[in-house]
Formats: sequence, C-alpha cells, structure tokens
Amino acid sequence: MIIDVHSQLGKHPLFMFEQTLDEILGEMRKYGIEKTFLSSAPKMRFKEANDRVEQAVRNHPEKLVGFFNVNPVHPDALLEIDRAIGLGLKGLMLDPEFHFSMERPLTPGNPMLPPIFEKAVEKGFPILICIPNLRVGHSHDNALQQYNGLDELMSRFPEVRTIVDLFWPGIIELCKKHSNLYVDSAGASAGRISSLVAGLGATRLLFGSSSPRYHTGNHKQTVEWSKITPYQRKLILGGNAERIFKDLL
Amino acid sequence: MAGDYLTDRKNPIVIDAHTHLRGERRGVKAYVETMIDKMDAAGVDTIISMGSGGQYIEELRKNNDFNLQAAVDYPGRIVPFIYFDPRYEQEGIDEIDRCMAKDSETFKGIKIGHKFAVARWMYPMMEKAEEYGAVVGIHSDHSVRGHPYIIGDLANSFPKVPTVILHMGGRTSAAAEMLSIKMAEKNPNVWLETCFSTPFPVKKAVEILGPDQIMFGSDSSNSGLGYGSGYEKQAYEMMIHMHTIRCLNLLQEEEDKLMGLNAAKLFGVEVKI
Repeated sequence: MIIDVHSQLGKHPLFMFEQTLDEILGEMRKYGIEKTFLSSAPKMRFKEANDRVEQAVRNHPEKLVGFFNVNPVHPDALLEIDRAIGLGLKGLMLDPEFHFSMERPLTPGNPMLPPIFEKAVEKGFPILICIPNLRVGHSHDNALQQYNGLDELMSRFPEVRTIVDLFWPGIIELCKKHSNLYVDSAGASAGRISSLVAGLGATRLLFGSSSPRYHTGNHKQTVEWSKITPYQRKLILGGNAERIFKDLL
Repeated sequence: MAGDYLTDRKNPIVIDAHTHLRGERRGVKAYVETMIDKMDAAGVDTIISMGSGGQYIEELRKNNDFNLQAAVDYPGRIVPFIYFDPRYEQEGIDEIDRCMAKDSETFKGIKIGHKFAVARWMYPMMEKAEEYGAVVGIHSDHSVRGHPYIIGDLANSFPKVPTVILHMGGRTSAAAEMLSIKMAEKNPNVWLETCFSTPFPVKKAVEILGPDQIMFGSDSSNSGLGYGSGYEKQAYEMMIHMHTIRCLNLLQEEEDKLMGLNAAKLFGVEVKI
C-alpha cells in the first residue's frame, strides 16, 4: 500500500499554497496513493479547519486518515483535541512555526508542549510536526536548540510516535537515540533520501508529500528514482507507515 | 526508465536551461560525453552550461575554456556561459573580457554562483553583460545573499540585461519561490528557471506571468557527484525536474515554452520542427 503521511487541505494563510479535496483525491488516483494522512493547512480558527477535515474523511474513509490541528497556545487546545478525537480524527499536525514562532524553542521547557504530549500518551495519537521553513535561518544556536529540544521531548515522551521533517538538525543521530521518532520525506531530493537511508536505514523514513507545498506525484517519483533498493523503496512508500500506524488504518 | 509522466506529448525542443560542465571535480576527471549521454537518455536536445567556478583565477579560466570547448565540440547541443566570481574583483571582470574576446559568438551569458548576488562587483558585471548583450544567470535561494528580491533589484537597475533567477528562489523556503514570481512580474527582463523549485510555485508563475518568462532547468552536471549522485540513473537527475513541469498539466503550447521554446528564443538556439 502506498501511503502519503502528510497532506494539507485548504489555503495556507501565509504562503499562497492551497489545494482542494478534489485536487487531493485526483492526485491520489493519478499517482496510485492508496491512503493519505490529511490535516488542514494550519489555521488560527483550527476548530472549523478540523471540521472540514472530518467531513472529508467521513466522505472518503477508505482513502483518508484525518489529522487534527490545534494552536497549542490557545486555552481551548486540549479541549479541541478531545473533540477532534471524538469526531474520529486520529493524529495531530502541529505547525510550531505558524502557531508559536520558531523563536521559542521546541522544548519540554516550553509550557505549551508537555500537556499536548501528555494528551497524546493518554489517547495514543501520533504527532506530526511540520515546519515548512525549517531550513531557513539556521543559526548554530537555533539548530542546537532544535536538536536539544526534540531530544528532550522524545526522551520524556517515548510513547508518542512523532514524525518530523527530514531537515531537522541532527536527524539521523536523533532517530538513532529515539525509537519513537520518524522522518517525513517531504521536500527531500534523491540525494537526501539516499544519504538518510545510508545513515539510518530505511525503516524510519515515511513518504510524505507535504502537498501542496511539495507535489505528491513529483515527490513519489523522486523516491522511486532514488538510489536505494526496491525493498527500501517499498518501506518508504508505505510499508513503514502500514507497520507503524496500523491502528490508524 | 519510463516514469508515469512520459506521455504522448512531445515538445518541439527541450532545453535544460541550467547545467554544469566541468573538466574535473574533487580530483576526479569528468567528461562532456557523460552529459551528452545523460541528455540523450532524458530526451534533452540542448543544455545551457553554466560551467564551473574556480578556487583560484587560473582554475576559473581553465573551467571557462573547458566550457567553451565543449560547445565548440558539440554545436547545437551546448550553449556556454562565462562563470563570474566577484571575489576576483577586477580580474573577474577581465575574465569576462578575455572569454568574449576569445569567442563572443558562442558565449551567451554570464553565471554568478551561490552567495554572490549582493556583491559590489555585481554592478560592473551587469555593465559588462549590457556591453556584450549577454544574458545573466544568478543563483537564488532564501538567504540574504541570494534572495530573489536582491536579484530583482539588480535586474531593475539594468533593464536591458536579460536576467535569469536560477532556481526561482529554490525550495528551501516556502516564500522565496513565490517572491521570485513578483520579481518577474515587475521586471520584464527577468526570467525564472525552475530547478529545485516545486510544481506549485511553477504553476502559480504560469498563472500570474503567463508562460513566456519561465524555463525548465535541472542543475545537472557531468561529474556524477553532487545532487546527481542520489539517483539510481544519471538521467533521472534531469528527468525529475522535467517532471516538475510535465506534472502540471499545462496547455501544450505553455509546456512547449517552458520546456524549451523560451530558452531557444532567449539564447538564440535554432528550433528544427
């Protein structure tokens, strides 16, 4: 089964990227994607956005797995997680860049995050952390904070299946330290994919298009043309997601 | 080798507007024929070769000469640029003169690499480009030293110089690609080259600008190292960037322009239909 673990519905408020449900389903048909983990583009009005995802999943349960989105600094964030799970949504897409700025490092010291992760432990949902501009403005200090923050967070919450961008600083080392950490392939070139597989193996890398920022078919083609073995390709394109998220499918 | 994008659609000419030929890389000899084989496998008629820089002036001269010789050896297949490096100050400008004195018919443009869009020697270089009627291709990315806004500002100061924003802002930032479109919208002498951009911004560029200021490119090289080394086959390095254009389902005439006709017009490449 080919599974895209990261696709976003609607318009991004900042970057002009947008896609409709029909476009997502059309691309899935065209490129043979059997399941897509769908969240809304990040929104300040996240409840309405989650309702739109729920509606999409309700209409296409065989094709879509719904992820909810919350603003972690909003007082209703935890209530919304309960509500979204009640609606049948199965994972959280967190966009720390959009909702609370990269200037606040992603660490357990940030008072907003531990309650979210505690809720993930309680309810058993995975967390996809998407930072579209992760590669921009990486000072040494910023990269170190990102590395240390995720390291601490994963150590404290080893039960939470967490997916992060492939461009996270020190991603191979972090994955080797934390068995609950997985990598979203979105935006990676063939060189990045093959070097990550060489350094880490193929079992932690998940095909994610992060569409519409990147393109489902174009990225699938990149994985298919990467210098990796057919078995590794199969794992990345869906085998890993089937194994890791079988409770969601 | 067939991918799912290989349809019945044919383009009158396919020109890869961003490649690099070099004689060696990291001590390993490289051959022009490697690139020709790659082009043939990918279905690319002609490449624009940006050549390669040098860590000292003699190496830069040698690389520019190599690039020219490749074009002389493979007429119609290779269009060479002169590599300009502003770190060499006046010597870099003199290198443009040297190359143009050698063969101003064959050299069609001047390439500027990473980090240099803000360099003070960009202005004398643009003056030279205007003097020779050369196209200028400048690397772009999200950074303060290569942002499309900087290149747009430069192009705005030299409206007679056709200026190509290589990578059209390039993939690393969700905003830079979109902003490169604004630069082309405001400056008719700005072209966008698509390699390492992604399909969504390219489609937006066509919607906003129309199809005339956008060109397919791949950043492929003949060394087998760098970005190309991650692909199972060499030609895939070109083909994945062709896919970026062809997956958009543009009108046939729009796709034809992006895949080669625009570059043919800009660089004076003959189209045989």
